[in-house]
Amino acid sequence: MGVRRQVNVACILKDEPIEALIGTWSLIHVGFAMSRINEEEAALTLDVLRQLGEAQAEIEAMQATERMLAS
Amino acid sequence: MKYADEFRDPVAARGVLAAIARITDEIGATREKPVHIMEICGGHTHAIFRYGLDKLTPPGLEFIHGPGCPVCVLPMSRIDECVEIAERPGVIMTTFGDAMRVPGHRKSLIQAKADGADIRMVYSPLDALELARRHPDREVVFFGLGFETTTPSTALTILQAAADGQTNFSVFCNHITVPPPIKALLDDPHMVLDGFVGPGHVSMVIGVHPYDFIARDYGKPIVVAGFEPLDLLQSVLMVLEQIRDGRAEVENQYSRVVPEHGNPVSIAACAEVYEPRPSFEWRGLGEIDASGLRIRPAFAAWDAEVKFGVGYGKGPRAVAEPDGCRCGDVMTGRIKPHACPQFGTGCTPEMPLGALMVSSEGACAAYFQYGGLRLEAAL
Amino acid sequence: MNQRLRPPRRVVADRVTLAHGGGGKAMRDLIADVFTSVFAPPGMEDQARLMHPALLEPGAQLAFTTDGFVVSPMEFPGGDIGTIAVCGTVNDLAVGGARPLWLSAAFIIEEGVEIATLRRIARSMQTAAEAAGVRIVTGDTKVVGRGSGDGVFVTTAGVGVIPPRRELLAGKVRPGDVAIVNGVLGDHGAAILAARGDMALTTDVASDCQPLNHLIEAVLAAAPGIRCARDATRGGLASALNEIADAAGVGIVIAETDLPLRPEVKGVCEILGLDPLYLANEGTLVLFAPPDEAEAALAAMRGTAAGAGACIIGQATAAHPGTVVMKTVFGGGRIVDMLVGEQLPRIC
Repeated sequence: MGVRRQVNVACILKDEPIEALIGTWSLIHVGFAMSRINEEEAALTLDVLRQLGEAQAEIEAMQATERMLAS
Repeated sequence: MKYADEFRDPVAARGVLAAIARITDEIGATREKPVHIMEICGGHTHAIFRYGLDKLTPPGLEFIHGPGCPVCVLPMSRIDECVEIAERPGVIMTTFGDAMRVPGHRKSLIQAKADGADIRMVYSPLDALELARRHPDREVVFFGLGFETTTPSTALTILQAAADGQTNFSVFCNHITVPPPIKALLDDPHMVLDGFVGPGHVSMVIGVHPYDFIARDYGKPIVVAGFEPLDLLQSVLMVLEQIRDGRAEVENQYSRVVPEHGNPVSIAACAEVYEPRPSFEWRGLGEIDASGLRIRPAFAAWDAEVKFGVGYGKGPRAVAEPDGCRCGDVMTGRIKPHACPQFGTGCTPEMPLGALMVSSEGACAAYFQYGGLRLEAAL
Repeated sequence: MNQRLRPPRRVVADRVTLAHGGGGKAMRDLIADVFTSVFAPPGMEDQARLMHPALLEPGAQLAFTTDGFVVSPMEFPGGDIGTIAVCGTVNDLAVGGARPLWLSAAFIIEEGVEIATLRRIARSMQTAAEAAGVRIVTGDTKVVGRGSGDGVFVTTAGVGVIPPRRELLAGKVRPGDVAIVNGVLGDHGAAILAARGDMALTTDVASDCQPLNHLIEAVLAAAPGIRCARDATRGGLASALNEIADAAGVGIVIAETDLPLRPEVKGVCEILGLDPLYLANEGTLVLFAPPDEAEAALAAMRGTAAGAGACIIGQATAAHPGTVVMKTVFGGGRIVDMLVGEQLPRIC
């Protein structure tokens, strides 16, 4: 399943056995794992983005209702 | 794909775009007097065009495409030196794909390959080291180029080669750093820049504090951005908010990947292996102090410049651009790609005059490939 | 025909030598043992002598194509150079609306290639030929010195018959015509990249190599108004669409969200910075149907093995003639140009 490639984990391995990395998500660049994805930060960023999206959807809905009422 | 697809959600995009339109309006930016935001990194330039972000953002917002394309800023003479090394008997030259088509004064690497040099494309410097292991009778050279995103991988590979005693491996080092050219641009009295979208992957390595001088000394906002379209849009929004509020700060939009202080292992490896060159030539920008890296004397055995007697300081510096090439002006944002008289005529992806058309991250290549004027005419 | 009874000819060596190309006994044995015993051509003269009633129908046309195959590595998940030689030739005929009939196969073999490899390639070719319903009827064999070739090069020619009143032409595409592909894109290109080894990637993707003539017959039966078909080989879907846009003087709009792609192929492209629109396919085509026949064409395709994944990806338009534009997942638009040079993986 998926695409497999050997990567060097020197940059992301802290004081832990290498098996601890299995199942984690990280950013790979030219054969090196360079950064472990911070899942909390990812969720926070997505939240802000979704709220902007939802706020916009509400604004558009309000505008559509206004147009309908005005016509 | 996790952590990628969510950041391409078109519904969320509408929200960000609406906010961008609102604030662009609030600060009074118009098509005639736009707010100028520079995206530094070539990968960002590519993403902007691939997703059509410049068409989706309001006309009062103008993207200035920065010099963050390491292939684009490579001086021709370095390609010539690389070809020279590749043409030595017994050498296997390894390189990232993008560098293969950049024209040198005599030829590009792909032309040298057609002429018989053993030049191979690799995905990683580790693959080049592996080639050295498999071919003990050959000299394997890795064409190391790139900004801080890539410098650690080359450094770690050199450290591995040293640890293994792999003597038939060396690196032709052309790594460069981001902060010096930004300072050069900010010092240029002709540059009009209101804010920056900062290079996400460079920052993954060096952290966000190397950009403090931009806010502190020049009063410009900079937001470190990820590479998905939502990342870019959110970062642009954050820059606009700073401008509206009269702030100038370093912010990190790409917090899921970029740690505040960067990657300690990478930084340490680079410090051990490299030292800054007193100055380095940037195609289109001229010589910039302390902007290029060279391999320290302790690792001279893996330095191709030492091994092959080429390189910086030796031989005449042929700095002249080909006739009519205006890569320098495009790269510093003075003109847009389609304003270059050669764009699409004397300079095309098939027959490039300058590096901005060769590299897939060059602004001209992105314009040509994804649209620019042809797309405007089409849509 | 009077033939001396003799035991079947056998190759003795493990590897091909220059003697096998010399025109003497070694070559005769190689051809007999490795090729003609498998292809079973109708005769053993220097030329195949053939007839088919369909050629005699008034208004019928002979279709004739030729192709060279140099893929490296020669063997890869999903096929080998033999499979693509047969399928590629068959498909070149089929996309023109021809019923493929006969193929020739000329081999240029580098000294040192293993005989076992040749046997596998020949077997692949015969299997593909049977699946397509064609015969390999004539051929040639040459051997070149070590270093003068690259394994095995195969050149084919293919002959077919276009029935009367059938005319598939890129130039016939009109604004409003619907673009349909028969399945996922880029499998072959991704499989080859992974198999080549220089990117050190492994993936389960196999080449999509398959003959498409049965699919095309099924579509044409259900939707005779089909304008044209193109197989998306080198240069990928993008190149095929650009050729059509150019020939017909129409614009083409496709939607990124509608492009069928395996996640693994997307993954390979993301890692290497490649665009799946430019990856080669060996069993995937795009065709243009008039709007009122699109549903019928789609249903017919989905009823065949090669078209189970068929879907609409876009349409022709009067706007921006000659240019292919893609609406990105993000809602923006971008031009999809012809491939320049080779797709090189990006860095940074």
